[in-house]
Amino acid sequence: MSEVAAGAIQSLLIVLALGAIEKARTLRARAASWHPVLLGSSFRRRHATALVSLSLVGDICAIILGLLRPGLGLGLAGLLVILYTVAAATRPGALYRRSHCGCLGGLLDGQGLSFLIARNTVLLAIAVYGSRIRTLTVWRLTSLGLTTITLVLLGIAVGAWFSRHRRTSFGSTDAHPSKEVPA
Amino acid sequence: MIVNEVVQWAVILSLAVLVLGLYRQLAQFMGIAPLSLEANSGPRLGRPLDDAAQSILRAQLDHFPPSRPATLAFVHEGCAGCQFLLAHLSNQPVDEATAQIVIVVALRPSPDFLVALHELSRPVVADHTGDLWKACDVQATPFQVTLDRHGVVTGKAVDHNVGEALVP
Repeated sequence: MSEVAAGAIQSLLIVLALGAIEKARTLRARAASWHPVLLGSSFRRRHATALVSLSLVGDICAIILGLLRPGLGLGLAGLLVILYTVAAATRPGALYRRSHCGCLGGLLDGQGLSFLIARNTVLLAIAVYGSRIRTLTVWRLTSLGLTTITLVLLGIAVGAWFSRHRRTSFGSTDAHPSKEVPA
Repeated sequence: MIVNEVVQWAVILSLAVLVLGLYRQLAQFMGIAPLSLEANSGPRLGRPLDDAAQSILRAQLDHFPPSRPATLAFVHEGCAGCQFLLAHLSNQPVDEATAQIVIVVALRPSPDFLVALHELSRPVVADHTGDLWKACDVQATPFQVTLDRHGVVTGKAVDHNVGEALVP
């Protein structure tokens, strides 16, 4: 397997992991029924916790299988990407209502349906390519190419994930002192 | 062989774009690049909301200015950060006697979203035209503005981690 292919597959698995972390956070905060993709439909809202839980289990299975049996894992990852794209595209108002769904851990969380489809098409292409592979053999940390980009991607994504949890206060009067966040 | 090379280069370029996009996002979050839309947005501290905002709030609320300190929580349906604020409000019981009033202001809400918001048992203002958001200079969500009992702005923040928000 080429380094390019290995790096692309690693990137997809990292993106799924970020998405799984986001879903776990959503479940922990009991915020599933307020998720932008689930909010507009009464059916989805009623079953929001179950849907997010199933999605989380699916992501975890895809990641584990992707490492141990890439063919199966990446096939599952591709299927999940298709399901998530369909879910986002079919929510009421999807065509005209821009949103940040945070579905992949907020990774390149652009607005609009066209961006979502373009991004997920790339991920699906990687999954389809990876589903033909039997073993994931290239994990050389010192290699150039996409393996390196993958690590950079991971580092930036982790940094962005922690950074997005900071609070930006624009001050307060003495009546309600706010907790200032250092710049 | 050539197709393989082309596909590989397409993947490389796509991932390079992803990396650049992430770098830009991280730079914004770390303050290296200015959050030009968010910085200094919102109504002026120490002053009442402007007349346009007050008239919209009076039209939809039973009492404005509120009888107690209040927080205006600006949310919209497509905002991933807002889901945690709304979940926080949903999971927190309303103490009518002592709690700070939280007024949820939704931008162009759909009927389903409005129904969900009313389940919070808190005052809800539906800003169908966007005029209230414009009057309060809201540029990012979830955005919160605190008011004293006279309707004077005492604090404001964009909060991505609403567990520690101005909302109590």
